[in-house]
Amino acid sequence: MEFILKNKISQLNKLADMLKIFCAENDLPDNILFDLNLSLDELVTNIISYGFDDNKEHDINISVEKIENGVEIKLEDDGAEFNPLNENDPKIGAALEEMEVGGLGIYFVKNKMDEIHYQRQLGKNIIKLKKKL
Amino acid sequence: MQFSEERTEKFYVLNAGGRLDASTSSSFEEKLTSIIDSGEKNILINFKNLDYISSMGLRVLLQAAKKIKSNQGTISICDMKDNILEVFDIAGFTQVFQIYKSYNEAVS
Repeated sequence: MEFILKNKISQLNKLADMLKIFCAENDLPDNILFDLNLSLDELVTNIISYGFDDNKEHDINISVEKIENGVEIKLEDDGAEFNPLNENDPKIGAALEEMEVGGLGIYFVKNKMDEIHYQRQLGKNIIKLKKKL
Repeated sequence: MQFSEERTEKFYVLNAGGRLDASTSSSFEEKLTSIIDSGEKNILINFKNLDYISSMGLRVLLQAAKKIKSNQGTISICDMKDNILEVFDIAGFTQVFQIYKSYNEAVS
């Protein structure tokens, strides 16, 4: 399945709808839908929030494919260079006062996905994910 | 998201349902902040009808927990679906919030 999201936060609804269709078509259970949705949501939210400093409309191209033993995902955007793998993990298990709100999103992606690859190519961020089933 | 509020003997309860992500987190934040600002000290968030949460939802909860702690109050959460509880667990939030399995367990 391939689809395009615009760089508007309301597009998270479209993302959820498309993944629901994908999981229904491939007989994937609700917990897999949740993990795919969470991982893509966090990456797309980052791209929309920090990727662009013009006020123009941009495309985020997404493909989601069922393979023999899992799901492969590719995200492509023409925003500012951002490698999610360079993000530091947040402090987990810290006291409330020391807990920080940043970094949790990427931490979820790392936790939920089995493979994450990043490359910057021809002015685009390309993120490839794999979730094993 | 859908919200409703009620008062029990122990808690001021915020029922929050639907999807809590970057597109809805500001309405959740407004609700929660207005309850804290009104001086409530024991807040119970009932997530029985919450289907989804992202880090943006956790961000709001963490900020609210810090704010209410400085007023000597607490936020408790009940009735989370398994997927949502797992997200709380990964983030270390199960140690920061009082979590109840069910609404009845919380209010009894």
